[in-house]
Amino acid sequence: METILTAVADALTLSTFLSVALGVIIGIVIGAVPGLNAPMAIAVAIPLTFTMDPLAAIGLLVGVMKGGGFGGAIGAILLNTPGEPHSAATTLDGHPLAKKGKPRRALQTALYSSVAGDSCSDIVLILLAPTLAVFALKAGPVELAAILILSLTLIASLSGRSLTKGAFATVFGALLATAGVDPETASPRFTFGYVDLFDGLPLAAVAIGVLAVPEIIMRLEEGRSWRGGTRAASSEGTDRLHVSEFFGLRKTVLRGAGIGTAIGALPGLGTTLAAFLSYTAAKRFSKHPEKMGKGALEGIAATESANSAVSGANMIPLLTLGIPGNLTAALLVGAFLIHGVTPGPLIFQRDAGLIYGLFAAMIMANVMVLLIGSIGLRVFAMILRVPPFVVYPTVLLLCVVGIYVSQGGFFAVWLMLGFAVLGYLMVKLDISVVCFIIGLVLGPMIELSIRQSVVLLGRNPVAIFDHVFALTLLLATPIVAWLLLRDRKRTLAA
Amino acid sequence: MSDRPILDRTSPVAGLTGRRRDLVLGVMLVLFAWLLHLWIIPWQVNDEGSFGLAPSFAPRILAWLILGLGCVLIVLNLHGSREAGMADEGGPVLTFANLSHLALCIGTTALMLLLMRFAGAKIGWPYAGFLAAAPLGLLALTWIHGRAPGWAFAFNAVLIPPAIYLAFWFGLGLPLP
Repeated sequence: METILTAVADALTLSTFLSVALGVIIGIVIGAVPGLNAPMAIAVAIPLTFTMDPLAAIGLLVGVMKGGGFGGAIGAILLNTPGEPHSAATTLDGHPLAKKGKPRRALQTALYSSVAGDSCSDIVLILLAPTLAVFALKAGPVELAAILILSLTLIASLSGRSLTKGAFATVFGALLATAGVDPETASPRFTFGYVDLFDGLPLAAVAIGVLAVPEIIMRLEEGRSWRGGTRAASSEGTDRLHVSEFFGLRKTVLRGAGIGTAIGALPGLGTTLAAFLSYTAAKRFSKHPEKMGKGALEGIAATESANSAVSGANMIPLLTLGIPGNLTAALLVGAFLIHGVTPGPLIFQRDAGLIYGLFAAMIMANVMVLLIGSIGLRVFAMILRVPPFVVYPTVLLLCVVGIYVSQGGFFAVWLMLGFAVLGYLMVKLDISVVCFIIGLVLGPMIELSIRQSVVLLGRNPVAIFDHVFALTLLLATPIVAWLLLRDRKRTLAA
Repeated sequence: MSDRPILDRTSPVAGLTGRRRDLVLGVMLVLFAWLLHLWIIPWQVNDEGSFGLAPSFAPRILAWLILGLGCVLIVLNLHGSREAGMADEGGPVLTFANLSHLALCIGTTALMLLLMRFAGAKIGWPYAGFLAAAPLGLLALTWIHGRAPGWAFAFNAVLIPPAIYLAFWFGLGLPLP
């Protein structure tokens, strides 16, 4: 108990407080720039920590991680230019609400849901980390494959007006994701002689290319019919989220936090899966599913609570097992090692003071995101008042610069432009870009886990009976698919 | 005189709307899937040395799925299912004006990138390529909008590139060409 109190007291010093605040500001600003994301923000911030004491340094990086989580929602909501694939889920309802003249309301929902989801997963991390880590360790490739197949079936309901074209978009995304060095034989696939493709298609470049750039091109296209004034007339009073309204979203936020925490505790699944699963669940349980995709607060709350909950839960395998669940966590491992802290099962004995201090800094970072985000809301919402002939050329240049910097060269920028053409044509041909991104993100995970499972099961299908959890999920998949198809038929008939 | 309507810039490309568009899309998917099976996968994927599933396993499965989905699109749109009927109810349309605007935007950005790359390499100073190409690129993109007043050209070309330069180099320490 004394260790905990000392650690909390260490975390409440001015230097840690300022470090966390600086980290949150860096995270929000960098996260809001298309092409730059939380891992990039952490990479930028790591050199700033070299001269800091370990707790202040890790506090700053945690602040960057949490600030970046909310920062990604700003571009997604205001300009329909998500910086990361998981933010694409936020655009589904966030941007329509901003276009209705309620950008601040959308941002408030995103901010509060993000902080609530993050706080929930932090509490789970603090109270149950060792227990959850044991469960996470039991989820091998077979279980992960089953979880991913079931998830993909659930997310299929986001396929838009045509199920067939939505399925094609998912399959096409998964096909493109097979480019790169084969995970088993290390031979190149679909690289066409380009060494830059050996690591696969750069996800940020593809996501910005198909999601953000076509949106900018279409907004520039609208220019000839633009008649001046603001694009979304914001009206004070109605553009604010009341406490009672957010309280009404509590079930959605808690569900999103639960989904995000569960996904985040399993290494490798990531924020995109959590965000889209939570959105699908919110749509399934909504009293007004017809409003989803048209600016529903539930849609924003579901995605933001889930993707923020992943960041806290990702620390579970990181701290307890030393396994980074995603790129952000991998960068944090590097930062931990730089400051002489080795994550792993013994961390609670060796560096107990630092870990409890870290927990306090995480809670502090959540409060900071809430405070700094709330102050910034008014400024962020003003982006919509800037004329489109200033905003969209600037954002397109930022996309180019962001991808150049994050991917380290022109190759990814050319890819981004190529995928912008694809994204534009997909929108005009009524093919779901969201499904394409889901396929691109989940495809490699599913392939890898299935191939690992085949090796693990010794090519013997009967061996699946040794994995009861995975078998249950696989048996549930066709039932879920049937339920979704039945719901869809009812919706079409209505 | 022919009774056929003359296509203007706002006409759908090749009259592709609704079911007809999806039918053509289905045919293209089938052709793409065969191209994958017969040429691209054998050319680009090497199955030697695998001990579990072959590296071509996932691409082939996905190519078969694309083939199947293409066939489904063709059948649905030939027989007029409810899903195919929804394609006729509004929705986005690809026009010649869309394609020319797309080409203009992508072409402008591509020229900006080329200038950024070659000016950067030629001059050799840090950020030279960016500072040479970004103002011109922004001027062109502002012109593409079509309704920008004079001050917007000056604002975008003179203030935005230095602001990005300051933020990325002095703020974040990140290099640009």
